[in-house]
Amino acid sequence: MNPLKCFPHLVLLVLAYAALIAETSIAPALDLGGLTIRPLWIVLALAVASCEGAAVVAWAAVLGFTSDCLRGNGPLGLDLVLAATAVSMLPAAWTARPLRSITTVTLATLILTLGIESVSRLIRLGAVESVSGWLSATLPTTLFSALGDALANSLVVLAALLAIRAVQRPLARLLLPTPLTN
Amino acid sequence: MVRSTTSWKPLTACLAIGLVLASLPAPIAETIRSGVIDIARPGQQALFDSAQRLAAWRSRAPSPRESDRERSELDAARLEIRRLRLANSRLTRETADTPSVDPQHPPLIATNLVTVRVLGQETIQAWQAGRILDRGRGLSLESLVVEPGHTTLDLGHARGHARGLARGQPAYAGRGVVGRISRVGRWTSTLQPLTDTRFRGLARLARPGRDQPVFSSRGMLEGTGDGFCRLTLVPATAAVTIGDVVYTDGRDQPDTWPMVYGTVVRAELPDGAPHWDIRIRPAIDLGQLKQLDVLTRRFNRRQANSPGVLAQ
Repeated sequence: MNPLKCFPHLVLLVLAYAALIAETSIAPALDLGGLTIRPLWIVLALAVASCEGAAVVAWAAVLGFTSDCLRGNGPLGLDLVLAATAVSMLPAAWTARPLRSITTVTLATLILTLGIESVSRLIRLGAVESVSGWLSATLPTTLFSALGDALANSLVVLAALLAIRAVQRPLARLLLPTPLTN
Repeated sequence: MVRSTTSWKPLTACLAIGLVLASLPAPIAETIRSGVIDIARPGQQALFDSAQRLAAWRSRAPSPRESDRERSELDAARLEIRRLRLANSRLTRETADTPSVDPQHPPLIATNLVTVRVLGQETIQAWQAGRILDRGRGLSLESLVVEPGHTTLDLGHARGHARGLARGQPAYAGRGVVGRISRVGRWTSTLQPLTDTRFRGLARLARPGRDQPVFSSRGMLEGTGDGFCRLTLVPATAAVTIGDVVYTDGRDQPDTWPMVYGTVVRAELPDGAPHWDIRIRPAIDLGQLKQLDVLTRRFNRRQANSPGVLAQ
């Protein structure tokens, strides 16, 4: 077995733990005008970008289960199922091989956060609210709120990836051998 | 059309796990949730420690200008602490020198502060007009003691004499002198304010010191009848300035510390005059007064009946 294959998973494990800490300490303290950053879905998008096949679904299950545990209400396992379903519904080109495009990873973050957050919130709210006011009040509010969170998450991913690329390029140039000249 | 090539097996497994988790009883689900949150605790602690260390490091590296200012403030604070310690030790010594009352041998004359309310002008008028209902407690017009220019005090249900009130007793509001009792009635009493022309009292001038007032000349305080007082018999050789505080003089005070009459607002020394002409503004606004304390003195019967005292 190639030990290098485990490296992305180790990195993702560290990132998942960092996301767990951020979700319980930093994210609630951030005041972004009502928007909420969900670091777990950012890590999920990075898992989609760096892993392939069944590993993506496994990471979705792990991160979804963690999100389930952080939510105080609703059935345990809901986010797990939603995250696994969401990554399974992504285009095959995204999950079959690692992604290199910043735009695609940002788009994946947007889709995953919007899909998982909106459905999860609607189901959790629907479990406790009456059906009459659900369509008129709960649905639009929840969708807009989830869309805002998804956009905020995508912007964070975009900024982070652009920053990483900006650092990577000069480093790569430094490591390249100097061409021989006459 | 883009089609997902992900195998359905992992998704099915996730769905099965999700169903199992959703069907778990609430206590078990809560235990699982708590366990996951507990996993985050070491990381949270590390984050908190790092944030604290960062804050401490930032606070430890002030700018040179700030450090100079802080050093000078620290030196000033140290000096202030030393001065306060000296003052504290001096006050402690003075307190230790003050003779304390022996609980086995109480003093012959017992003093007490009796709190009374000031009757408003409308109430007095209503009483005089008979608009206050008497329910058989002897609330006749004669029970009301009123003197023109004097404040009328409500003595409550206990009779004035029963509460130990007597003519000439001083009245205070906080640490300020208000005047003295001029007449004691059955239910009410009158107060001669210190601004009354017939009011006289021993007084002592003091200028504000750093820890406590610095007392200087003694004099006689008299009411002028226009809301102010004058301090007489202060020798021309004494140093008097506007803002000096006038305290009571004598030993018949509620405690060891003198009470305040007022503040010097004008001090003039006419040519060749042997004494200062000093005008005092009272410390208490008599128009706003609602409640005051009367210092009563009573003969201590327990002391008189004790075998150590000879009865003549």
